[in-house]
Amino acid sequence: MASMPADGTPASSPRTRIRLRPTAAGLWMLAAVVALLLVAVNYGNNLVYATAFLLLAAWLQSAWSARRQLQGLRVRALPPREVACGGTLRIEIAAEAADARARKALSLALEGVEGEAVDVMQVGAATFGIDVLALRRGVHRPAGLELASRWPFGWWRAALAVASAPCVVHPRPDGALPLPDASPVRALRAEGADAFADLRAYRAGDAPARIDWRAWARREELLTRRFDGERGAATRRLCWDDARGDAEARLSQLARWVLDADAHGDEYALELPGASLAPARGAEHRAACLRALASAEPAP
Amino acid sequence: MTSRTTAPSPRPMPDGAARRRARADSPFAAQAATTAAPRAGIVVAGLLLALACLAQIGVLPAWCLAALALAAATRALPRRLPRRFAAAVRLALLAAAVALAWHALDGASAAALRFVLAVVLALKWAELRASRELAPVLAGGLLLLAIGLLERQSLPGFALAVLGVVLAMAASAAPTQRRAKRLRAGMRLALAAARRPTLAALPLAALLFAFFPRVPGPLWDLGYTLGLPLSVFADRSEPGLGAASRLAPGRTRPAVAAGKDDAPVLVAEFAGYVPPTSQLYWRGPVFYDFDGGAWRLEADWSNRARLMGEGFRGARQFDAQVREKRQPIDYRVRVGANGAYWLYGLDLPAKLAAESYLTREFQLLSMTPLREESAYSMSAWLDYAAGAALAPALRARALAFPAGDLPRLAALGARLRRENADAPGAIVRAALAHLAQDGFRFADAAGAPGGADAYDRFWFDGRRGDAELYAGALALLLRAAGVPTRVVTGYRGGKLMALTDYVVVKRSHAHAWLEAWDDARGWSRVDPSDVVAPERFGGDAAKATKPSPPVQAVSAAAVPPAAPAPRARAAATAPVAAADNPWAAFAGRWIVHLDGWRQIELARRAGGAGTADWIVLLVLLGGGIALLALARGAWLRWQDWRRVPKPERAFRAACAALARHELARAPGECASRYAGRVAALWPEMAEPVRDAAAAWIDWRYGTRPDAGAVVRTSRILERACR
Repeated sequence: MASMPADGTPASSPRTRIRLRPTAAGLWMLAAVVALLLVAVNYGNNLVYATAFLLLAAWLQSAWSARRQLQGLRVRALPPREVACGGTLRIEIAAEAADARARKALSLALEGVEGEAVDVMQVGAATFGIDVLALRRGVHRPAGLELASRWPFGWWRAALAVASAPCVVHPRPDGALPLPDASPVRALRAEGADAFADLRAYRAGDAPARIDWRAWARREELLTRRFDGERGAATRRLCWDDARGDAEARLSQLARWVLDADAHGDEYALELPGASLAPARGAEHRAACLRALASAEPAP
Repeated sequence: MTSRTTAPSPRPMPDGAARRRARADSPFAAQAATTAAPRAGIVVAGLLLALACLAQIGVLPAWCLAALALAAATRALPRRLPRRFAAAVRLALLAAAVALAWHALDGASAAALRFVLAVVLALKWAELRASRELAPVLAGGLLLLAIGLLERQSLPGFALAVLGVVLAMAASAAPTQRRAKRLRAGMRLALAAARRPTLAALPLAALLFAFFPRVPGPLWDLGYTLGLPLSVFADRSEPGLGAASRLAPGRTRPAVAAGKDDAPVLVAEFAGYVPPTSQLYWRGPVFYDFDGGAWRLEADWSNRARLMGEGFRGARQFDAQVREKRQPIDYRVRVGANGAYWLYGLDLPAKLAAESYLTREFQLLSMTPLREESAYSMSAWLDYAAGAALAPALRARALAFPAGDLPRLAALGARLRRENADAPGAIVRAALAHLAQDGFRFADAAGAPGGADAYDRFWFDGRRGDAELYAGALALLLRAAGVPTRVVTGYRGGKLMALTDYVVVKRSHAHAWLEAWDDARGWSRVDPSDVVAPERFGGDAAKATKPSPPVQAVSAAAVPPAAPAPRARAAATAPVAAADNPWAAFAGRWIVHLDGWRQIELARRAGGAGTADWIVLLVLLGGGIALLALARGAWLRWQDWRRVPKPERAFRAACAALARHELARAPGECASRYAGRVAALWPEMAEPVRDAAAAWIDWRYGTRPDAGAVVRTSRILERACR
């Protein structure tokens, strides 16, 4: 039953047109048909007529077949992983069939270059991917992303345009400078160490003295008292000014720092001429930092 | 702190093909998946080439096949050899093959061309690596196969052709079927991929085959009907029969220079009714004078002033000359530049074209030499007897007979005259009967008897000759019997382009006949060729595109004897498969030898149309294709519908029934909410719609689906909606 969309009817989505073009191989075959017809007319030979017409009929028929592989497919791009400039990015899309037909010889193509084909997409949904080389830094939406099929003979290529997701191509991590030490200015929010601020849920590792035992007695729930002015974790400030070299070298250095700091699990802040990101840690912060680096001015 | 978590990978560069195709400003370069041709595809393409090469057996000697195998075997060259080395080996092989073809296969002959094409394909196959190289090899292979099958027009030949196309499809399908790792599995997958499209393509192919108009080739003939310029008479000193001013017995070939036979003289388009081509006589030079060695025109035969003085400038003037006229016909002619004045009017001209006149011999001549192609509209009487009176001087010329040179013809003539009591009609009939009964045979290249008694020896010894020999000999025989005659040369017949109203007359249609004078009737045509070789000109008699001629032919002495069976010639050259096997007979008739005429028959059966030409065929073809597309669309739709499970179909049908009452289920609306909405808006429906939705939800998402309940409740709902 996986074949059926959840609601039983195809959801309304903007109908994308399927583009159908003969391929180079298809044009060769068409040329063969024309040549065969010329021979047939010239010699008045029914055998050659039959050959030409069978080939022509198969040629036309295969156009229909190619188109049918994409009919009734709903496609959407999957959010890509960020990639370093010069690295390989895998662009992926998910396709879902509105009916129970098996689709054949589908592949994802970018600007006409096709990735590896999936011979048979059985009923249901599937993902398709293509490896692309990221050539330039920036946040790009790859243009010309299509799901294509050349079934059955590769004489025709049917293609369905796919709206692509933005891809973050951050600067290539580079530079020999060591990761800046944790900032001596520890926490920007330090005020007084003893001013009670609020309670938060217990986390493993909290000092027992900080646990609000009365609250536990009342609600059987471990809460930790927090005080303003608590020293934040060691925050690394990754500054544009600390990096060396020209703009791209600095961005590369910053990218390396971001990735290293993230790998260490440190808290870090990023300061760029146009933008600065508050100290934080985690995958989201890392993505935001890389995005900022990717789109930093001056872009090439 | 400097540990590198993201090692900068060595910067990969996109491979050549991908880099070339990436747009200059694109931030990404896609990396194509493998472009290498799968082995299954290469092997199947090799099979196609092998089939194509084997089809050449009979045209190519055995050593050619060995050479082809050697060329293909260069695929086995070790791959670690430098590419240039392999390329050099193949180039050397190609050069050797061309040299071999040139010396052993007679220069640029058809066999040599085939051999070279086959060698090129075999070498290309041997170096084939990438998928994209497959298609050219396959296209070439199919062409080679088709050429090889030209001589094998039979049912087994058809099987070979279909096999070739299937192999081409399978080889093309191989790159889309990469999941097979082993060669045999890959080939099986590729052939399986070709099977269904082949079956699906068959109806369309059959339709195209049946109704694609078979206008006979060669293509340039077709071009003439569309206005392709007619070639100029290249050799003016030896213009050949039909244009020559001198007629030596047995020495004047229809077209002198070899290979010129195919050159067109004129193209005629008939309005409405195309007469049997055997009745088309295009009149050229007319000869009275035989000097013992050859027939000659008068010395001043091209003297325009004299010809115009004796001839007719107006239709009314000429009309008085015509004693009998039947079968009027209208046509339009394009005449190629012949350098002389010949317009080649169809016998007998009924009117005049601009800038033309009729001579005393009823020739249609132009006032100016034809240095470029010219076109005119004409009408003619196909059946005629004409000539008001024969002037004494002309009668003397038309009776001149070199008695000393031809004693045997003179004696036979005297006997005919005696036996037929001086009646010209009876004498002509007796002479023709003599021709028909005494073992005369028609031969295109009978050779030249030579000498002053050439006609004597031809008539009494050789009895083999071409149209010109028969016309000359019969003319002299009739003169010996006292009947005035003249020899007429020109063209007879022409190639009727099936499904059109065009007739292309070529130099190979050159012909000679004679006219005999009867004081009671005037000049009337006598064509000995019809008596000697009736099948020669009978070809298109019953093949007129229009059902009936406007005027029924009235038999007269001058009308050729009854035309033979229309397809006598076709049957002789291409015998239909054994008639005792009905299937083979059917296939032979409707597949192997389907031609324009049978297509007309087919179109009449299919459309019931009284007339048929290529437009009718195209309309039938278009209609058939449209029907086929509709049927196929309906079939696929039904297939898609059938794949949906039955409960789902039932529930959708119920929803559709509700939608007719403007209660359509919104896209993405969940079934229970929909049921609630319907129940609120149409209270009578509350119970059935809730039941149906509940059953469907249970079937779709529940742990113990009950398909029967969905179908049952949905049907109840659907019925309630009516």
